[in-house]
Amino acid sequence: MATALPNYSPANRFLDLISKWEYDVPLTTQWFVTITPKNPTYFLSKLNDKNNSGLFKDNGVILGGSQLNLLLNSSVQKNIEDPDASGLFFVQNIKLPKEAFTISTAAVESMGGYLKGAVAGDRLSLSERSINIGFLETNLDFNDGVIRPWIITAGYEGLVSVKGSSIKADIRVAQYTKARGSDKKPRRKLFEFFDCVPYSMGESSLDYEGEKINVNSVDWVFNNYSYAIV
Amino acid sequence: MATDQIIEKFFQQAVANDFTRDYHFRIESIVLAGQGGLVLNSNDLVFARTGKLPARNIVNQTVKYAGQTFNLPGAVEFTGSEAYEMEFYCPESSNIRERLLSESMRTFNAFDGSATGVNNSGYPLGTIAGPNSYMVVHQLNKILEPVVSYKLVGVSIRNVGDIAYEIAEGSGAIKTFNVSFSYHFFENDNIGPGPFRR
Repeated sequence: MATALPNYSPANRFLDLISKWEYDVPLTTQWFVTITPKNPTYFLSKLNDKNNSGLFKDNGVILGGSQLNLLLNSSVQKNIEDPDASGLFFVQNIKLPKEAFTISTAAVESMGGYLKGAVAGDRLSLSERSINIGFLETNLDFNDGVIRPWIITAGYEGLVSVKGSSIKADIRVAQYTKARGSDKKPRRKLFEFFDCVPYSMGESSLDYEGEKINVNSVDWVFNNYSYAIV
Repeated sequence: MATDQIIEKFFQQAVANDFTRDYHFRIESIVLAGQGGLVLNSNDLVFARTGKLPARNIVNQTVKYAGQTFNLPGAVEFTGSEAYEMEFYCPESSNIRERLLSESMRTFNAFDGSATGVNNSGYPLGTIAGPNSYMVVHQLNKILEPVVSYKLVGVSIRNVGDIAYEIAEGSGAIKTFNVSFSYHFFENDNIGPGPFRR
């Protein structure tokens, strides 16, 4: 019979810890994103104003199955707290912004062997951080149908908004992992970004090389964010 | 204490449980959704020569600590789901192969819109490789009753193989051809619904 590892083995201790939910390695593919315009009616009217050809229209009526409907219809996209929530299915990847502040040196000239001190500067500004979301291209393309007119509209409207008249949206990113006790789908992190607007979408190219899956990248600016662990 | 896994126990268990044999398998149906979608039933699938039970794999992820590598479970993948292969006897009319080729054309047809959405007559079609396209396979016992059934979900045709003929020196051998399908995942009685549903 194999001899059990002695109790002081670091490997044993690691195994004990990693066997607990709190220290286990999470599932990294279990996440989704919701994007909810703050004022859907105003948002839609502003997009209409600037972009007659940019929306999915059929005789002036927005097509019910379009991605725009997903964005505007909360019963379709569902609240993140809803156990059936699965977010926007065509979001393929997301980069969450970093958090940092600048460091500068506090010193006099010629300090010789003395270490120059570090002084905290400003936190990273909103213009230096952004959310990047990759959207899967589908037949009714969310990027060209919603994001492109949204960026054009934001270019005209600017980033200052009045309560009740905003073209901005809130983005929520929920991350889940394996079961914890009786909770079969525990949420381990929730990031919420407020007053988000897309400001840049990448170029796309067409060729004859073969069929492929396209994921188009969009950068978003936001006013503020919050996060919760577990 | 000596093990009880002795030859007598093996014999008792072998008599009680028997073994699955290499012919204890049937493909019950292949249904690909939408107008004109391929449907193969028992009249067609009786020509199937080979099939297999699908596999499931948990990708291994490693974490190291203090010189030791720990193996942790990662994401699930359905091994071979991109090419589930089957071999068919080819009937003289070649109708099964022709229908498989039609399905292959239906799966990719750039212009008549019949792959997804609606066809030219406005008839709504099922989505290629959607949840209503499936294959049901059975593992059988000795009296040909299904003991385990699997439903491959999101089936879509991939490869329809060639048939090589021996015009000059043929001996009358029965010809066969290969076909492969892809699917997204499978369900069976033992996999219950969970929050991640796979």
